[in-house]
Amino acid sequence: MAEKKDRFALISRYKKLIKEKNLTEENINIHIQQWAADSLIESYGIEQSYDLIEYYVGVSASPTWKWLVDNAHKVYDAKKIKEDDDVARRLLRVQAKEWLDK
Amino acid sequence: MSDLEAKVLSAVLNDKQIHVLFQANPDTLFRTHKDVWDFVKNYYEQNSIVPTKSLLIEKFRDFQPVGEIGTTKHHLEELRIQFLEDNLRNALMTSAKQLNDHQPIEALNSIISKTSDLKRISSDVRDIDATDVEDASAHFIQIKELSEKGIHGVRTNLAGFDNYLPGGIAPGQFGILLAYPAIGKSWLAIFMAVQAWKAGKKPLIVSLEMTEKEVRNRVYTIMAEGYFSHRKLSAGLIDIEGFENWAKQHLKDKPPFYIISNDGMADVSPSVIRGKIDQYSPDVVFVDYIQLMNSNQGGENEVVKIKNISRELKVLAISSQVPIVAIASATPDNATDMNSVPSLGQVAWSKQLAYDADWVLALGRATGSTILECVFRKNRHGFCGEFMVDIDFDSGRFIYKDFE
Repeated sequence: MAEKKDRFALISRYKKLIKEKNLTEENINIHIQQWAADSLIESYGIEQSYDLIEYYVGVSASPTWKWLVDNAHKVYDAKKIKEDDDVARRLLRVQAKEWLDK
Repeated sequence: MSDLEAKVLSAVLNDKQIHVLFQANPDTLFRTHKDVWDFVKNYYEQNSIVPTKSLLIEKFRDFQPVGEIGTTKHHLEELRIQFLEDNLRNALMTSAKQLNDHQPIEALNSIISKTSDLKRISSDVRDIDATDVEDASAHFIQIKELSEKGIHGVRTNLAGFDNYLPGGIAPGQFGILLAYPAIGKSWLAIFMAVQAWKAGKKPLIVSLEMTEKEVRNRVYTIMAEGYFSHRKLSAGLIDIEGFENWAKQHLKDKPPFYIISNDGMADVSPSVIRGKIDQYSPDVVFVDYIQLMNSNQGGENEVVKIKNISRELKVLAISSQVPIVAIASATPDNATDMNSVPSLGQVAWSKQLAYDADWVLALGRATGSTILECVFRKNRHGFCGEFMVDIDFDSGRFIYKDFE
């Protein structure tokens, strides 16, 4: 089980990001949702959970806490695909230059 | 018909050229002698030799080989022509009857479906011998000559695209422009079509998403390179005399630029596009967009439909030797970064599109940005490079940018 302060801190970070994005707060019952936060932290670790939250709130047109905790694996996959693609594209750019110079 | 079938089978027993039949895949052509052909085929597959005449006569008492006979290839061609004539006549008669019964839509669907089947059956596979150096050299010389004259592949005047696809959008190619909604796929396709037109080619745009007039507004905007505002063209806020003068200077004595729309109601399938290719003989076809099309084979679920369309467009590009560039949308979900460039796995409904395409150019644009990121996700004819285009959607200006 994750530490209590991490569970609440994760929800708190999410709420802060939502408020920055939408200028309104999302109503989350932290006493119930701390267990969803616990699952996230247990699955991905606290640092990666912060990253997932940041990524999700950044890309989703209408983010909700419920969708996030129900679909954290999708967020993780999408984020990983994006990161891997960024790396692959950086490499291809270098190779493309070499290819064009031949 | 049965005579012709007997002649083909007799010819193959005589000259043993069974590979001619295998590569023509004639299963559908044999009707009265299907059992004899199946036996010959299975016998060959098991024994690697064509059965003897006497064995066939013994096995099929009603089969009588024809005495004086030509080559397998010759009689196969006769059989194929006869088969096409019979089936085409039947298809036309069925449609004529439906037309008489005041069922024009059924008549049209029936003829499209049957003729596309017939086209498939009657098409040859193509083969070359890779060790035939003379043939290869002649091909390279021809391509070089066409390229030097600027009449081979379609160039886009976007350095990145033209560098990574050095032969241009060449005859027989099937290309895909892939992006999430509202990125600028249609604009880029129209830009490419206009560049083809400026190079003296005849483009054909099949627009299932926009009206032909909206497409024409965009075409004029891009053609005029800043002379018109797209916003004003759309609102009819232009000086007609100025427009007509511009048209006199820029459109006169130029090749035609065909735009086809379906007014949102009619089904457009690859067979319809084939008809338009036959009608207009364009040099390049743009289809906007593939998920709004229908397959020749009618309505199935979306995945099967797109899979069929993909295959049918690919076959159409190869058989007509006209490049086809189709727009396809990518499917985002709630966790997709819409500011990114989609990957091949995100093609909506069917990945078959990505498999069939010669090249896939994925496009991405960040919210509010005018910079279009273009990434080759697949490229059979060059390198999977990437480039950027700065687009002014109002003036129709496309400025190429390279990644640093």
